[in-house]
Amino acid sequence: MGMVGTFFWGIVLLAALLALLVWVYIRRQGNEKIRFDIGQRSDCVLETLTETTAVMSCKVPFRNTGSQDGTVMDAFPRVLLPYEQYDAVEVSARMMLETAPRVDGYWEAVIIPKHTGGTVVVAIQFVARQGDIRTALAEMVDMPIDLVLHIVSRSLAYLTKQRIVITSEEIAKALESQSGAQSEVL
Amino acid sequence: MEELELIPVRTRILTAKDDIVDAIEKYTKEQVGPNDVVTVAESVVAITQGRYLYPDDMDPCFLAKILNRFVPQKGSLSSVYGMQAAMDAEGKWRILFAMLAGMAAKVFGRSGVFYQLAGRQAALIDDMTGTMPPFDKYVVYGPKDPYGVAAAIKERMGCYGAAVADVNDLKRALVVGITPGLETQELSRILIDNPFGNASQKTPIVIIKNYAQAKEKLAASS
Repeated sequence: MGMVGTFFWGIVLLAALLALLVWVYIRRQGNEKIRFDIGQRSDCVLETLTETTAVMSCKVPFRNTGSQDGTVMDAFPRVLLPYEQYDAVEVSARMMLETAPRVDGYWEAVIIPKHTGGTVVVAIQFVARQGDIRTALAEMVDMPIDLVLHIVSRSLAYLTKQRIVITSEEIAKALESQSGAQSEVL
Repeated sequence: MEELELIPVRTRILTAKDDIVDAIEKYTKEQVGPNDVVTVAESVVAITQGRYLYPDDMDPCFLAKILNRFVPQKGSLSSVYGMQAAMDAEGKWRILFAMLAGMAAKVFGRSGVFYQLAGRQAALIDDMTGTMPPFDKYVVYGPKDPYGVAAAIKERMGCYGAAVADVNDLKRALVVGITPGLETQELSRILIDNPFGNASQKTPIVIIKNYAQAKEKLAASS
């Protein structure tokens, strides 16, 4: 091998070593990992009640267990109640930080430092399609809601979702405790 | 003699459909005199110039995905989108060179070299959460031609001077555009306590009342 060949392979080896070092650095640096602790979700409570509308809410904690800060650019709940399953109520929901409640459904992008977390409030509005809300919810079924997060950190932005299920029993229980119906969250 | 006074001016959220000089005239016309200086937040100037991008509309290159890893987390370029925006504004090879030079300088105990070499836009880019809703979900560049903007404000308002500044609560006041006759360091000192307030206060314009008289008074006393 001549001097040119030795130089060439030396450069290749150096580049490979550098690439390996950068790869190890990035692997060790890691990423954010922001997830809801679904198991710690609170039961639904009744917030407001009118003749045709009931608003309930529950709280769901989340935590960044990763090794980097992460930004939650957007967060929203997706209600999954097809009319084939239950058509007596129309359901909508919104999600907000417990520490930064809003009434517009907008999620202001927020940085979640590593090893910290918070709590979101999921507010669910039931509107009777006909008659009063109590009758409309009388035969209510379990209702899944996907909690969707749009996250960005060191890596490309991505969507992640986790599912909570609002049971018919807790809806009925919340409806019974209408004395707590005070604040307007939707 | 009148004393120096800072007057934050509340506006609605300005967008790319607004002209910054028109907006300043609309919101400050009755308050600005010939001895005053009008200052405006650089991010708001950039927004009115349409200089922002939604991350999902960006296509970060391989180099951006590597280099952002070497920026401390609090920096706007620590996200791959912030880094890509800097590369788009200043050139990817310039950013790479600045990064390597910055790393080498740090070895010898000198910091800040990266931003000195990477270009003005690299220091002015605001990552997501850096600006008020609805622009909290966007990467916002620095303003284009801030000196020209300052000159246009002065001409329209008939004031003593005008400036475009990047000010935050961390005691950073960087004047990025200024009209002749004003001193960058003096203005930075006046704005250091962030009279623009936080995003929710929606006061992107600050009038420095009686600046000319205060300057004369200072010159006379020294």
